[in-house]
Amino acid sequence: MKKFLVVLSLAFASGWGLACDMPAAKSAENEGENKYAKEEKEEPVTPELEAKAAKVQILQNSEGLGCATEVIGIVDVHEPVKTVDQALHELRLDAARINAEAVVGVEFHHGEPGEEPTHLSGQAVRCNDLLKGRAYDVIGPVEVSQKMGAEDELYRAMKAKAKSSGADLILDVKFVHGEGGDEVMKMSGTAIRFKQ
Amino acid sequence: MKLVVCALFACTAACASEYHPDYHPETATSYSQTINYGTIVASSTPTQEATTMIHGRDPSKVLILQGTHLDRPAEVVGVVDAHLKVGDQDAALAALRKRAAEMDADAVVGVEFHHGEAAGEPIHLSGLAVRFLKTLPLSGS
Repeated sequence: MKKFLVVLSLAFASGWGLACDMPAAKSAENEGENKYAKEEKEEPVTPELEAKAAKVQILQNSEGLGCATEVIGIVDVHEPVKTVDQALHELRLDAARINAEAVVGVEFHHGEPGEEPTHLSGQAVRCNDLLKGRAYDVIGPVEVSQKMGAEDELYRAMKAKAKSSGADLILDVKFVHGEGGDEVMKMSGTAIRFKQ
Repeated sequence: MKLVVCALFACTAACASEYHPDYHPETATSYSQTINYGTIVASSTPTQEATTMIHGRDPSKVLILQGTHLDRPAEVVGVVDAHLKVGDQDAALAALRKRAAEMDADAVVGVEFHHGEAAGEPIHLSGLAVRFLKTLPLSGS
């Protein structure tokens, strides 16, 4: 079976990553049903966004897309238990907001019953062959972690860490959400530099 | 003397042929027999659970997997979450299968079980409902 790499572009880091939305600030006091709810205003749900969201593929695996992919963000929906049916739709909307074609490696964690919200997360990707068959040197593995609910910071930290080591690209990017609660989220990959 | 011997011989010969099965059939009041019956795979009167098809899918065929690793591409079609009272684990499992079948899912993966903490709290059985893909979804784009 042909293997497709999930890669994270660092070439876009300065122009795209820093220009995109600031990370969502979380309220520590809000211990209600959704303590990870974003405070910042999201793009409103319009018929156009709904149409875009309907085309977003939600895949359980990360290898099953059929094309080389670029990771363009982490999407993580924290839905109260009683409205968990809405979580998948929210995930599609979040992915559509950043122009993703698919969400891969989707994880669901119910969490302990009570006040803890559920977690539905994955990597938002689009088909884009960033490697283009170029030769490269492996710099080494790169891994970052962040507290639950800080997906944007995690994504940016990953790029920043790889960039600081002189990498051009991160290959084989993986995202592990964890069980929720006090667990941290992890993102890992292999930093590479193109040969001159 | 000769006469006595001949008479004795004739008598012995008559006694030797006295037993013959045709003339002395045995009377049996019981008997045993070994019979191999075929195994019934599908009953002619199926149970209600087995016949309730949802969207042409048999809920009992929906895979319930604790793990998340699948050897083929799979699309997430929904989140399933069954809440039932403590002790109804089997009913919760059946509800999970039924809900997944309603979503036209082939399997539920990453299934988690959470026991309610306080007395009277329901149990939670949840997971991701997935449908196996025959073709890679974006390979043509």
